[in-house]
Amino acid sequence: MPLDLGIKNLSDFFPGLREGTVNLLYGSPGSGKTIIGIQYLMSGASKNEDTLYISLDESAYEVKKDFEEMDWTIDAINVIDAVPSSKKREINPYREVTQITEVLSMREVSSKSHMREIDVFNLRATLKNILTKRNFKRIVLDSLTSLKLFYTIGVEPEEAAIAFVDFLRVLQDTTVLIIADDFDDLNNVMRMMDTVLRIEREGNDFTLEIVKSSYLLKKTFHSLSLTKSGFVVE
Amino acid sequence: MNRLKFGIQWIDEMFNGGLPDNKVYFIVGDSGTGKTLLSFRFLYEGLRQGERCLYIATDRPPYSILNPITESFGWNLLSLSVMDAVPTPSLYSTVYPVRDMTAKGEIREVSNMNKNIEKGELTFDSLQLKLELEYEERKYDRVVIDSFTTLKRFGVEEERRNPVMAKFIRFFIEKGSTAIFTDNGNINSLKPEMVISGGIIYLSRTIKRNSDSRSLKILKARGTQFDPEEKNFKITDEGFELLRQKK
Repeated sequence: MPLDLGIKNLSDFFPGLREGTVNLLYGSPGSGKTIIGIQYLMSGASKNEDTLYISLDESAYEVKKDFEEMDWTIDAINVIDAVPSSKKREINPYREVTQITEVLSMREVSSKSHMREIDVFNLRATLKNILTKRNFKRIVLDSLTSLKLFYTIGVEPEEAAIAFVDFLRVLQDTTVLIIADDFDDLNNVMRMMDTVLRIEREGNDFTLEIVKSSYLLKKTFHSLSLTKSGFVVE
Repeated sequence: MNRLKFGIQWIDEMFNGGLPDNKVYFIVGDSGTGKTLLSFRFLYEGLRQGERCLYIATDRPPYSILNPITESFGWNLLSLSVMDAVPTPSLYSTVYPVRDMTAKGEIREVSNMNKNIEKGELTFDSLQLKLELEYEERKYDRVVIDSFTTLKRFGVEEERRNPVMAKFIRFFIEKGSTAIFTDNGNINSLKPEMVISGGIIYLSRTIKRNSDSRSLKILKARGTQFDPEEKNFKITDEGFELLRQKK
């Protein structure tokens, strides 16, 4: 059974993400990528699936506040808050491959929940530990661009990103949606994806393009509108 | 979430009531597009609301920017705090009605003691340390760094740049401040730090022989609905004046 994106009326044209695959959603800043990511997770949560949001751009608390501002309650989503605190005095290329954080539910997230310095290695180690104990049906990584830019000290960002995506591909029971910015060079990771989606914004008109899919599709471009309850197909 | 206004009605409306607070925003634009003026309008509005506001200058000594603005627009900026973080030595009088938060020397002194830091050096680490000490005395609601481009150029070695910038941005968010960083650039050169920003305002200006047109566009804003259309405006002695839109 494919996993729907939670976008109303889209499944008439696009069944969703294939179970156990890794997929990409990219677009320019401000185009609505995070909203789609959260919709994808909320749709799972409404079916009592275990969902996980890996927050690299903004701390989980900020994400929660942003969505509360739009009157969305996202408490049912679990989160790994990987945004480090500014209190760390020196940033050095060092590697710690132990688990550095726990999964929280968004309900538990507060402005106090912050963690130690994190990089692509200990993030992977942390996920590995967590995922041996608990199965998540849906995971969103927001964003791969941040992972490359801010979490790869002393390693080649591109290689680190590929290795990280490769690690996510091994998870059989989990369907992953990776978010990235369109100015990022995504050629290397795109090859590894089952589905590639792109969101574009022109004024208040949003278009979702299904760049790559393993389903036979009649339609590639879908006009979306942003409503109080998220994106819908017009 | 509170909203912080610019005090310019049409811009505040574009953000559906003002900037969501406790985030870091970028104003992007080439030289002469109005970045400094817009960020000063933001600080001025904060002062009018009784908030604490801080201007950190890295391009030119603050007074050379403040004086023309006060003269042209009549804004009372006396209670603004100013930090001169220009990375080259400059001479200016400290006997001035504007409260000077620090001299460059102080920045230098509080920077990492076990390192031999050159006179007037400006780094992310030293600036953050200086601000941490300052915040123990007083917290700021609104902070402007003008320009972030210069801070980035002088403030950190290339290999550490992105994580150090991320840490610096986190500082303002954790302290509960709302910050605007100005960036000399254009719409085709969005930079890594903007990925983790709360929003991006883009200013542009086209000067032809008999026309001078300015426009403002919101590229991104987290946690709020926003008007993404590009707006034409002009700068008059009243400030930012919205022009009748084409189309």
